Amino acid sequence: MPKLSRNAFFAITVIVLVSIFVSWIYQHNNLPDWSADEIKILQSLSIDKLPPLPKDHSNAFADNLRAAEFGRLLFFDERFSHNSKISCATCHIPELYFTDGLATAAGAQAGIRNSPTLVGAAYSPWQFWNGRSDSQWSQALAPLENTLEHAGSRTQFAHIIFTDKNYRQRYEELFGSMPNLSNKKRFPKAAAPVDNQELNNAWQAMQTKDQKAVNVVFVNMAKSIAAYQRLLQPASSRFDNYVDGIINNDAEKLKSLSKNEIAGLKLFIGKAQCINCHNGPLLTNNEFHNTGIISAARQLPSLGRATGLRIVLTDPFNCQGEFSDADSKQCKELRFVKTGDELIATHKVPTLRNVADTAPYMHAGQLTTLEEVIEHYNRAPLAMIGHNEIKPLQLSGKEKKQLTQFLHSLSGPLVTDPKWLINPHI
Amino acid sequence: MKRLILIFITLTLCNSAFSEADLRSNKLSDNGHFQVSYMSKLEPIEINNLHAWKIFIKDKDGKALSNAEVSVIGGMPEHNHGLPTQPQITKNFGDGCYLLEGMKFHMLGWWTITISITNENISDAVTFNLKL
Repeated sequence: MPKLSRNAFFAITVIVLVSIFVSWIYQHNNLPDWSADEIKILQSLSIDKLPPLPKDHSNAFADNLRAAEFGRLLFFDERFSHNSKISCATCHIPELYFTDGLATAAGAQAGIRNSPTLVGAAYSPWQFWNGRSDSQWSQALAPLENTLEHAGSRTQFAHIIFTDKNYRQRYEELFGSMPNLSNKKRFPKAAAPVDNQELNNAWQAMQTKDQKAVNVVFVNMAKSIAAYQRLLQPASSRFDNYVDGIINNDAEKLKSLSKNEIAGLKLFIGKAQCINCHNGPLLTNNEFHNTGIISAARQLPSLGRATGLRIVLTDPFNCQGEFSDADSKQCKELRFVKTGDELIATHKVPTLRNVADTAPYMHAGQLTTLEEVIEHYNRAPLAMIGHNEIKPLQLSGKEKKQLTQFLHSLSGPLVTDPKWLINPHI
Repeated sequence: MKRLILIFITLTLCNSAFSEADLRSNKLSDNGHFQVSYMSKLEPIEINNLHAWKIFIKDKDGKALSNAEVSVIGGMPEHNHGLPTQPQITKNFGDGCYLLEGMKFHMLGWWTITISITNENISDAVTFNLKL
């Protein structure tokens, strides 16, 4: 009996010592108990898994650095607007990860959509919250003439390039000779096929071949802007350093996240189900979902992708249109595009890279803070139209805070050379 | 109590509806008319990547069917939504082999792909399970 007690005492002592040692190792290394499956998921979210930028077959100049330089000049140039005071950078401010910090854009008039980040946007097959463009260059065309945004016109833009010696030289080096726009009767100072009657009348009065010549200049501008935007890509965040720490058992990198942020990360890939849509290295599947977001004040509920789909399929500037450089068969996203009622009131899933620094949130900036966003997903209210795909999460107050804290770890610099982020006109 | 037992049994059956045994890529159609298999050109299959499959169709006796009408739908039963794309057969290689383009999955989890086949007035369907 005394012998047994000694053994029992010995066993208990060993268990206690081992427990203390394991606990010390855990705390020292800050190693959580990630399962093999969880580690696989974490790796799939890491920036290291970001594949090379997919080729844009519709834009032969997409990866041309001289086009990108020209595009940067255009991107920051306020002359490309109705009052020479609005550029792309008005709503896509480099210091704010190319957003504007506003609920909805403020261009020529008050806008109705939140300005999304451009960082990593080149990876998305669809642009705009409702995906009504299937390339970055066809996207760039729309705000330039939208009455709420730049409110300019394509003949106005062509004239700017034609008369600016520097721009004209750059344009012609890339795209060949510009059409001779000096005849103002054939090429009015302001004309475009838009809702504005005056601009539209001027456009309709032009000869078809002159309209085509102007459209080519307009498209080449946009292809240059897209070439610039393709350079805007995210770099590692604290989250990526943490994942790197797990993979390489690097104690220093494992300190990149606090305990609460790690708990938030666990929720992100588990109970909170964020990963369902915010997956892959850009933390978005770039698809369309209805999450029951209430419409913005004084706005009707947005039909979202249902409207965007109708527009992109008939857009003369889509991948299969005459201004695209792609073989029709290469336009696979368009060829196999999803249709149907499931798309009603769905909007594109945004990247969560730098999300803590790109408030407000949702397609019309309806939610001001990350806390409000998480509370929305926690409650999962009924959708005004269509079907809300999310279900209540039952997150506790502590869990909501941890999730918010984790989202702050997704901010990081850009891989882009800082010279590209500076307004070249200042 | 009876209700609780019923819920427990239902949940157990639902969970068992998706088991490892269902992940085969070669199956007999629901009514036994066709032998159907697929081969993804993207291996391993990953999310958010548009890719193509090859579909192989034989009759129940193993004869390749080269003039079948084939259509494909899919989705996530647990999320009650479909595929993010509309895949289509774009090429008939002959010898019962068809090219299915436009395949894409945008979430991790359990997916089902249902292939409907009509050949000489006989229609049948087969559903494959995938775990991504």
